[in-house]
Amino acid sequence: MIRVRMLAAWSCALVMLSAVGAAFAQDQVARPDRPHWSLEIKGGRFFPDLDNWKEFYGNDSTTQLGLGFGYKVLRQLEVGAEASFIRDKGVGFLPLNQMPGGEVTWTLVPVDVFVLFRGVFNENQWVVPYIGGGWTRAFYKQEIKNQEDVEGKTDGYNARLGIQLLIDNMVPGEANSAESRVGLDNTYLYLEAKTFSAKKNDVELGGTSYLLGILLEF
Amino acid sequence: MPHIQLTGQVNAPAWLTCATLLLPVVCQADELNVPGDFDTIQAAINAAQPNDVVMVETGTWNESLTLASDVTVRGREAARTILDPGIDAAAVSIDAKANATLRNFTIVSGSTGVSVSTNSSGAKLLNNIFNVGVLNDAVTVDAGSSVEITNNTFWQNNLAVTSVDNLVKVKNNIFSNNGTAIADSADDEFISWNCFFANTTANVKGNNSTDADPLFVNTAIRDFHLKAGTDCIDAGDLNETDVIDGSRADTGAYGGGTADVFPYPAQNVSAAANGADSITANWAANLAYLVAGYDVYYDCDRSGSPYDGQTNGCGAPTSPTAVSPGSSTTFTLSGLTPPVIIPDAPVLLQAVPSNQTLSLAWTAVAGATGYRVLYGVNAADENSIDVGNVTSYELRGLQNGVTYLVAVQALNQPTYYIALKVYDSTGNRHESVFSTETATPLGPENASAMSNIVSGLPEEVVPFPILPNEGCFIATAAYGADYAPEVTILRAFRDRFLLHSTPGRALVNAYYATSPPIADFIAARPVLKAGVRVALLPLVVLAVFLLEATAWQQLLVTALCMVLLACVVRRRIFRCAPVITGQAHD
Repeated sequence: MIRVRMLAAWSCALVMLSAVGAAFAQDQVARPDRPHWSLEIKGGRFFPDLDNWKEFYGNDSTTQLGLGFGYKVLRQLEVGAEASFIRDKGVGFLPLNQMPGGEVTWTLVPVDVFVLFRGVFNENQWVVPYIGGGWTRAFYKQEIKNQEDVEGKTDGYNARLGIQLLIDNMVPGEANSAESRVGLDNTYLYLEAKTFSAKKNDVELGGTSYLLGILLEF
Repeated sequence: MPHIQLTGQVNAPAWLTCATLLLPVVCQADELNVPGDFDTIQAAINAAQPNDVVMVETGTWNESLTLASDVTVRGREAARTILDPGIDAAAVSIDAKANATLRNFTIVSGSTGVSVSTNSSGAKLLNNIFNVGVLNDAVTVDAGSSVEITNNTFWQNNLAVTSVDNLVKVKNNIFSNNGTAIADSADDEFISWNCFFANTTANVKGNNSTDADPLFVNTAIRDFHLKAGTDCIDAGDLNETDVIDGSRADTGAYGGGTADVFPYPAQNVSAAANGADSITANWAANLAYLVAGYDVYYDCDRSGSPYDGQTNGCGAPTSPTAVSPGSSTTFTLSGLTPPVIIPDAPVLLQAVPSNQTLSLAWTAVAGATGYRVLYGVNAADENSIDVGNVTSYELRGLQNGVTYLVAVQALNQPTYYIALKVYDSTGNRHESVFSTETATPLGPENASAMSNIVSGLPEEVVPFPILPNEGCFIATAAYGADYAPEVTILRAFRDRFLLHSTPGRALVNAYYATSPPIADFIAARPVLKAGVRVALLPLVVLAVFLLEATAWQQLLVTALCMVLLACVVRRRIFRCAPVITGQAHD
């Protein structure tokens, strides 16, 4: 429920920012082309939905790194794929001893396929909000010291929203140079809130991530 | 007559102090010790007053020096006081200074070993070893500077000495394996009593020179003492004597009146126990011509000097025990009585369970040389394992679900510490410093009482969250663990070969779809496990071959297999052929 409310609040904020961004961009000179491809690198914190996570892994969140690419079907519509890497070290449980014990390394690799709607109406628009979602396959692995690993996969869904800041406008000369040299059209710095859900035997592997990233458009 | 002893780090000039005191005193030169009084040699030089001596202890000094007027910079032992600035400039500079002296150093780097610039006078280079490399010059002297270069050893330099006039006096030195020994235009009378060998150009120069191999003891460790038989011994100035043995001066860094008198320390010292009460020590011979023998020192209660092994109950021989034959490089310490020291019992702090494992930790005990872990189901001392000198240990291979009793004992095994000194044959019996110490255990280990007993219940760790394993089911069931080497090999084979093709992926998917119930069936039946392991063996061997063999090895084995196959086919044909032929004849 909290997650739904957060998504709604973020959506409203992004719609407003989109309007502001578009209005601000009207004074800019429109570029002739639009980019078709995007590459993004991101990192941040992942908050698992599992209730007892902190008891076993010592913290209520862990580091997440991600790499994604996308194809822009339209300027406002993008399809893409992304892989994230989430890892933490903690302990397991000893049922006979009724105590935590052992050494467990938890690795989760969610692979997302997504559709993204971006509020971009001008190539020079400073602020671009976006929202999207799609299908997720989550690969998991538990490495337990002196014991057999546990590994597997499961499917689920993902949703994300965020806000992108066009940093080309801050250094226009460099941006033009990059465009002419490597075909890099736009570079954005962005903040993203992302959630995914993927259950295996009624165990929820998903959670919410807060990520900072850089987006390159070609 | 009273003295004023000016010590160490004195900033007020000594001569000023002397001059202002209207007393009948004699001002004695200070000895400024590095690193005792100053961290760097240059700091000591900068603080030195006229007639002071900067005494530098053995070690490698990574600094370049600028000498001062009327100050002597002296190394404790030439062979082991090493100046290694490692820069592309002079290691030592004497620039417009009077009476600066450098003695008893080994200089091993710098674009120039010692550079004496114009307008320096009375400089002295005494009993140094120059080995700055075949691309660099050892000593360069500018025109108009006067220098005495006496009793130095020059080995493997580009130009050993370059000078342009008669103000440079070169005497009693050894020039060996340099590009050029002496490059100058001085008259021969200023170059005298030197020993030359295997220099590329200007090999022999000056008056009363000797052309002979100096027979250095060991250039690899820069021990440039001379071996017996070389003509460079007693080949120096007839009017000068060696401080070491009082004979006519030798040439090189260990000749004359300002040489250091210490033999090079013994090398490669080792020792091993012989039974319960003796230890045999071995070392490399020191072949310097004045070396007469070795003193073997030992102790059993602690490392380092003093080695008073006999007086504190370590055994019968005196310590030191002289080994005098000179060339003998082995000695057995017999009749030793290793002390019996029973250490205190440690406290076992924890036995943390995990899969088939108890992780133990205990307190350290003074004097313990090792620890013994005791464990069992009915009593702690059913089994034991010596785990070395550690305070934690993972006791593995236990049965899950069984409560074990665990304890620890501290162990003490007497250790003998052995070191050598080299001594010479002179009346003063000069000794080297101690060699590197070697330690060897001797006698039985003495165990402490058992520690407190801690129980532990090993069991399989349940990871969080609880998820199903979709790994390599059948192989895991057969080999008993996911981390078994065979399972690891098969998993690598799957990832590297099967998952890269459509048929391979289909095979893997089909395996995952059907194998879990089969694996459960196998896991519950030990006999079946063994059968499956045998059945999987060819696959494991094939996987190892494909994963580990090089392309050439794979090609070779494939060719051999094809040849074998061809032979089998041919045999079958030949076995059948007579029958067919016979039938035809019939």
